[in-house]
Amino acid sequence: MKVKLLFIVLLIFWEYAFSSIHLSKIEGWKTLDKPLSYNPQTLWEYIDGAADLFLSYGFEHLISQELEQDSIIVVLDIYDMGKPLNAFGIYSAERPSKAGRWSAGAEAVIIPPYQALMVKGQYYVKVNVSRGNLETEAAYALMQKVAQILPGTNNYPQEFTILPGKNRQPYSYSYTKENFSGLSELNSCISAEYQSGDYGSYTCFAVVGLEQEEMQSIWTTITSKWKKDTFAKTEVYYRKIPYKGYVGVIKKNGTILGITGIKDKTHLFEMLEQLK
Amino acid sequence: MSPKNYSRRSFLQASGALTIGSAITSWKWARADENKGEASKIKAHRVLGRTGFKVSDIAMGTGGLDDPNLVRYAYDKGVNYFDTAESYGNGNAERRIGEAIPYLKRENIFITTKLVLDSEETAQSIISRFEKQLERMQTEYIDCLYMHSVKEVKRINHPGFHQAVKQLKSEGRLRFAGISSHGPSKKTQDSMEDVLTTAAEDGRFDVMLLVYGFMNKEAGDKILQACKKNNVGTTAMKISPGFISVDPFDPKNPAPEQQKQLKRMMDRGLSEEKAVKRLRESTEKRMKELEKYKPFYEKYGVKTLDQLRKTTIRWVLGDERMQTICVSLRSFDLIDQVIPLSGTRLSSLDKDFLKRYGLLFNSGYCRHACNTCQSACPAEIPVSSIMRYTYYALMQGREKEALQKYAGLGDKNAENCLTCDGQCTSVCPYGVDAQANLLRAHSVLTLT
Repeated sequence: MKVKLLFIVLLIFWEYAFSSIHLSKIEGWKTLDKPLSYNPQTLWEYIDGAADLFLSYGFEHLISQELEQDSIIVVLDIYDMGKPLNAFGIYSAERPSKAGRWSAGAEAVIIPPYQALMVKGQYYVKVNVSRGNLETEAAYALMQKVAQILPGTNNYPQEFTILPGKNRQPYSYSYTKENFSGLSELNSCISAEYQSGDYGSYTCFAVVGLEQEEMQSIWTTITSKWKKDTFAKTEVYYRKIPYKGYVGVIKKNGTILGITGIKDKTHLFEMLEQLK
Repeated sequence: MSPKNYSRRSFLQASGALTIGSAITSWKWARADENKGEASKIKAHRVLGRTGFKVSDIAMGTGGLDDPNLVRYAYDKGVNYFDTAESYGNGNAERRIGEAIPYLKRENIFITTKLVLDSEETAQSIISRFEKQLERMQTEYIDCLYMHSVKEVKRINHPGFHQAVKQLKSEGRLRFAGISSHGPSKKTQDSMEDVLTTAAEDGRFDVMLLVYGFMNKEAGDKILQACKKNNVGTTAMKISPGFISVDPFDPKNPAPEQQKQLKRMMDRGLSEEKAVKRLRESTEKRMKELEKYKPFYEKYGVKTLDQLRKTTIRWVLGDERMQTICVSLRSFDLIDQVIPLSGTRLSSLDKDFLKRYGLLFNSGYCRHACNTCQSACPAEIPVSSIMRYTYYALMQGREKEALQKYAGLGDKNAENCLTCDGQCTSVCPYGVDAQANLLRAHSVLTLT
């Protein structure tokens, strides 16, 4: 009974949250037809096999609306992923690595003339052009307008504050649910790219968003499979990744922190020691 | 055997909701096998139907691929068939292949990609999408373009697709056409068997991608027969292994998974006494079910999930009509474990085991891509969705999410099955007790 009541309350809350998004208020764009709505049971009808990835990142609901401006028609999809970290995860999984990044919402990418993506809070936004060309400026303006109608702040998910700020490359945050860097032992990892004069380019990561028991399970796997060393009193675990150099981790205040993409083992240890 | 996995998979044996890509990622690999895997290479190749290309018997699926180094690693191990799709990560799987391509010899590999098409999509629109795929993969041509996830026989004649294929082939940007099907998602749609046997006879498709495993052999057999007759290339996906094992329940010393279950029940307001009682009852029920399978494990020395799963892959490899098997290789470990299976065949012992296993489980196993029962359900409950949620809960550790999704079905849940006369069971072509499966699912998804 309590469970049912809880779900009813959640449902009402969700309906309220989504009803507060007024798609007709996107200035300069006219809505065509009624918005379509999908839930985890029906997402397959809309995006077929791509639904798997969305569900693995906790997809909850989608509204899809056609918009028109002059000769351009776009489909605006707003995915509610439940949590900001999940929204950022699916955004980073779908974001082309070389596309230009923009400050709309927490972050946006524009792939002119046919697509733009954005993440804001728990929402992942995808715009696909169905008629005409959406050039960069128009896409950016549209994303800013969409960001305005979405609830929440334009900040990155708070989990990213764990990662060091020094030498971090702008717009390089990611969140990977499984197999970070192709390693089956590294799940639920936030990461960012770094560039330093001493060490070149590398990636810092941290395991986040897991229950204590799951975190411990990851740590147990690492400590049993990876090599161990001690550097300046810091205990580090490390291994090689094909074609990529070394990955190493330390544990700091219960959090698994690591660095990957380093060719020189000593450099890796130095950097891990600095993380500590 | 991992106690955790043992209990997680208990339902899946009956529901058949496993897919090779996702199931395989949760394998608990032995260190000795890993070491062997690192040195292993592809040992066997087969001619992919009328394409004439000699493909590695193990192919790389790229759903969820996030690292181009995995493509390089698989290639260096001898994999030469790479399967991707526009929809995988919004084209990012194709981009990862493109990032790896400078390290591969293009003429030595076979790249397939897929497009999900609207019924009215024009040739021009398809060509435009295809051009973006070429760009993402940094290649001048694609070996095969699949019309993806076809659910109706009439779609085989998609005019836009065939027109686009004709033009792209003439321009040298595409070599072959393919078709894939996972079966229907609505009751008005056609079975995978109908779609793909018709496509094999059609003559315009050179390769196809089908769901195939030893537990859903019947539909696959007919498709493979049609492909052989018409010299159409064949690729297997979503092999469904399946296994049952259950931890004994000791309330004083519960297994970690059982601790979680107890905690969840108590979080939801159940007293400790009631939670323990429920868990004991459900454990006893599962153990009883397991008892009848034990003689087989003992007789054939099957002790781990790995053993059954590897055997299942080898079963597909042992079928000469299937030219390659597509496995989602999402980690280096997984590649190291799967590649040593290349070129292997089942021993007579394995075959015997699978034969007996198949017979034994025949009436308990719900075949992927079948969905026949859904059309018979008077309450119109989404059978496949319910099975999927159960898979999330038991196989992927996504219990909370699964329970939420199930609750989201509202009245369309399997509680309806309690008072139903079970038409789903009577229409099942494989004799599966679908009603019992649904009731079990209801129990799992409501923690009752």
